[in-house]
Amino acid sequence: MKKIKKEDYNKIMNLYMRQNWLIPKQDELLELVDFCEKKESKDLIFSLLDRFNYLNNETLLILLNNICDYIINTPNYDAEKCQLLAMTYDDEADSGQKVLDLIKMPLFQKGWKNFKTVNKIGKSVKYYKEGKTQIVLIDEFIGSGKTLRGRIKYLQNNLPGDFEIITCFIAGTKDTIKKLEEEGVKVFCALQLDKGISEYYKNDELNKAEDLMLDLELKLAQWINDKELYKYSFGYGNAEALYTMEGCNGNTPNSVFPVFWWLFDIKDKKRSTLLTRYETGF
Amino acid sequence: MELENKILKDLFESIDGLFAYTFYSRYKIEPDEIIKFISKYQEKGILIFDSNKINLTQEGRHIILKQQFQPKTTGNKFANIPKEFLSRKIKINEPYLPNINDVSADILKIKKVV
Repeated sequence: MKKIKKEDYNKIMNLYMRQNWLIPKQDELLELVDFCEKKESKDLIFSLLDRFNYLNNETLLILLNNICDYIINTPNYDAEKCQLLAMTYDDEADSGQKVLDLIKMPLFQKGWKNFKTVNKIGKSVKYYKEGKTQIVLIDEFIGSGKTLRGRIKYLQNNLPGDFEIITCFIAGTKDTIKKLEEEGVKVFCALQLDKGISEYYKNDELNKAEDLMLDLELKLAQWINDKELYKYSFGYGNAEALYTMEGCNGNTPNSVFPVFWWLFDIKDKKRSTLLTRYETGF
Repeated sequence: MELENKILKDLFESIDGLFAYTFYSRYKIEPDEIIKFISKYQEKGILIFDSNKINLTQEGRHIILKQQFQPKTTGNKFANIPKEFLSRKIKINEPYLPNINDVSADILKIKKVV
């Protein structure tokens, strides 16, 4: 085992005091610290980890309850006319379906009954025709908002009449939510996050932090099979997310900085990453 | 446990506390181990961890001091029987049924009746 420098040791200790989920991941953490050659890169990684949102079951339950309250209290929304629709598009199991499944219980417990859960966007038309014209679009995380805009467009093009729509997320970037609201989309996001770098650092410090992260990304494999790192640089859609539901058996969103989950380095050597992202094609 | 005692002893002997890193340089105790030690004893009010330094509290010092001067053995060999082996004292002539599994094999040697 490589010797830990005093400075790193102290920083790890301080990190553990605030982020105790890292304690059982010490080997992965030390590998990441070693991955950073410059002191400034290490400081950036320590700062990002210090502000990380690693959800546990207790917090998740609170967030789910917040979403339920929002749905129930949305004016005119009636369980009988409502379909809870996962943002899932294809046949792959995803976190939209996970949240859909998790939310049905607390809604039911709060007395909301007879709504329809729909686990694929393409199935919404069928239930619309059966009178479920009030839509609650559900997903775990909203990063750039690109997927959400695409799904709303899909519904506008495919549902054969007027419909009402609200959208709910466990977590997402504050900046995107603001933009979507300005576009007229009704969004409820239970945990709103600042972007990890661009909304934390300012002026010269910001430029420096961005350069340091780019340097770290240059040390990662640029391709893994047909997935290009460029697409996920700073997180998909530049989301810069510091969030995962791994603590409650969830998948890490691709909106998270890839330095925490990208599986191979530039020499195609497998990395022991702090976070795990199940990614098709990896 | 032995390692914990070693750390507590070092802390007791230090005047102004010790850096967590000191235990890494002395005994190779990694951050994940020392943090568990700190959490355990901080919860009990024995130490505080601040600015990378571990310091015993007054209460912690008092407890350690008390344990150090507690006599480990007395003249009577029955005086230090662990609590879990003690039970209610029986009266004279009170019937007693021993657990056969706990009885020494020597006592159980039954001579064959010819």
